[in-house]
Amino acid sequence: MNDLINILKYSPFEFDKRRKEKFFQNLQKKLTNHHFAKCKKYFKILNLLKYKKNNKYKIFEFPFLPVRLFKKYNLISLPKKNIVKTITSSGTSGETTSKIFLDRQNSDMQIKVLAKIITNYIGHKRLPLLIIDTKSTATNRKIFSARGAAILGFSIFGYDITYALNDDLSLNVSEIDRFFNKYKNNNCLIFGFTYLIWQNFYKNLIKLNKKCLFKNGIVLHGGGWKKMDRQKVSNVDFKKSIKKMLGVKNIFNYYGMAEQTGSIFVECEKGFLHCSIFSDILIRDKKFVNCKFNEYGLIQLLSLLPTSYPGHNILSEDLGKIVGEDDCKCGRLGKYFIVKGRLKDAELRGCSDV
Amino acid sequence: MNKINNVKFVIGKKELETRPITPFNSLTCEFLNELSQSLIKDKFAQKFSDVISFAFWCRKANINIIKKKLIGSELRLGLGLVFHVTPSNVPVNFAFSFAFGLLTGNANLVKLPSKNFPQINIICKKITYNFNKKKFKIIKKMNSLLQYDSQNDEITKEFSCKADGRIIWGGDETIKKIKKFETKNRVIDISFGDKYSFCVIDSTSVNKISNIKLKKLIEQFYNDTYIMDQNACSSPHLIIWLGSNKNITKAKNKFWDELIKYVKLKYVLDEINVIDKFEQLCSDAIELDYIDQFHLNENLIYRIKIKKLPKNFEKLKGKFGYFYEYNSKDINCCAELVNSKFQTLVYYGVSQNKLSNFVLTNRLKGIDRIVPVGQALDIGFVWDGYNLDKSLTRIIDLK
Repeated sequence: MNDLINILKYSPFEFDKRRKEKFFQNLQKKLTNHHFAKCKKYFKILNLLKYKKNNKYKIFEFPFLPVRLFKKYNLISLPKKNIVKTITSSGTSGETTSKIFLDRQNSDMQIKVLAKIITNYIGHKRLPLLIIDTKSTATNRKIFSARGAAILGFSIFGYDITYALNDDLSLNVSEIDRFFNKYKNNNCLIFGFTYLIWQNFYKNLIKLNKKCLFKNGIVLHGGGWKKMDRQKVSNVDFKKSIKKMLGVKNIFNYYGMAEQTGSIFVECEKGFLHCSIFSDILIRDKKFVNCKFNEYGLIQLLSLLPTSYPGHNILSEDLGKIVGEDDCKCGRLGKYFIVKGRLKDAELRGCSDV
Repeated sequence: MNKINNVKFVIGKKELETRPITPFNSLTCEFLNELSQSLIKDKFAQKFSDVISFAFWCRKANINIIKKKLIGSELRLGLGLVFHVTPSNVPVNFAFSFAFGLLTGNANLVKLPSKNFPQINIICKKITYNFNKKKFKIIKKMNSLLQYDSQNDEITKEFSCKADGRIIWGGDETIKKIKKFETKNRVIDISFGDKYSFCVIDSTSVNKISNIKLKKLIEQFYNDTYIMDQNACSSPHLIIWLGSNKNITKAKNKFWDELIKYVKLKYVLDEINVIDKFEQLCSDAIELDYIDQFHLNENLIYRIKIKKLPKNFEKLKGKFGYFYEYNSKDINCCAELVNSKFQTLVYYGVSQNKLSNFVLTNRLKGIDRIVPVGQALDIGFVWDGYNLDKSLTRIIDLK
């Protein structure tokens, strides 16, 4: 993956359409052929879909996998002995979890790319970091959940790492107070899963009638809106409430899948999620036809990072639309988009449910 | 009673009059007819084709036909109390189950699906409305329709103890579980477990038919499959095409080209089901090594052509318009593979004689129904090889 290392020297948002298209397509093809050769299950699928490794494909013509397939099967493109890490998706909503298998190289690349993207938003300086989670989530190496992986991944942007929650997800008030008193006037970073920030941090602080104003703080959160939707809390509500309580200068939501850890999409100051040079998005209608900008449809995500498992081109179960390309007012180049939410589960199930 | 707090009695109450009445009692027939009328007249109910077909089924004329066919000269009464555990895959099956219990002269405790289909609400409203008529007081006292969580075994146990008959619709697991609960020694259990249905189509017959007849065939096939998203146990998943390869190719083109037009017109495919189908295709690619080719028509029709009929081909189940296809010269090609899991064989262009021979001479353990295309979902007193009117009644031997 020397090609990828080559583009690491660029800023993640400095390529316009013309500059990105060619190399991205090229690398996607290399990845597709790599997995086609190395992952037997992937080979079987592409074979049935009549994929030909020597054909020329446009970016929207490459085959993609439904993300659910990673829940059903172990999809690996390397000898088992090379696996250094297995990440399971968070499964916070009680569904079955995906398993993602990483070798050293893939894992390193995830960390590097994550750093490139995040520092573009929060700056290169390390910041005091308050994590809205428990210490055990991050340290339990046995169950390497996506949540744990994310915490470890984001920890590199911080120092004096402080965990705001106890093991039972209650507030660790003394730790929060310590962090607050020390850094209330400094630049600092508050990171966590959206739902935990809302349910276990924000709501409990309200109960305690506590306000912690971090004037120069930045909140970075992600992990999906499924549980928030159930509580009817929108991104706008979330932002407003958190801003009021924490007084921070910026709140960034990020979007990403455990299947494409590293090449995440972060919401800009204008409220749009951005593709970096490491990722791309397509929108599909119900016939899988590639949608135009501003048409809602199924979100298809492409990443250049997955080398140890065939997760480089997946169809999510989220709805969204591409708003534009290269012309977001925030100044970042590339496609920018919004996510409308998760598809509703099918209403009918099989005979086996009474 | 604390337990009862977890049970929602949609209609009726816990304590029921459980003394049976005679089957096809004029009062029950009248009740069903009036239920039918109120459903047919209801503007909202009219939007649901399954509600309307239930309403048509229980109108007087139809019940009279059934009655004539079924009623013998013996003295019969209902069993007493019948406990129904109804399925959540087909929204109106509870209503049929209830009507079967009612018409056989029983008191009924009907566990409604835990999912809130609008159809349930519509039908229950009309049942309540008619129950409140003074003349139906006797039947009102004999019936409850209720909802509780399927995991709540205590309630199921309690009702099982009381029941003289149980109709258990459900997956094999549910049936296994409920069968373990204590019951009266003489309880009659009728269980409808996981079943598989498939279809045979004679290609020459398809090639011969006129455009008008083809349109009719397509509409009927659509009703057997797409209407319930292939979720009903009697919906076919696999089509065995009979004939020479040349004839089959021609027939398939004719059939699917017409079906896609109809599906485009009628069917609303949800995004999530688009993914379901695509995911199934990927899983099939991984797991089945006998796929010959596949066709996909705008995600509305998936067709998986298989080179051989595998053992356990009842595992080949599709949903939302996902079909497996197999070419053969002879219907007997699948005889060795049919087991007791098989329910409905849907046919087109094959003679009844050939079909009965197929089941009888091959001494098949499965296939309980053989129906022409268009009737796969028609439910009746004979179901899954049971004679419900006989099973749910008791003979009084008078000499």
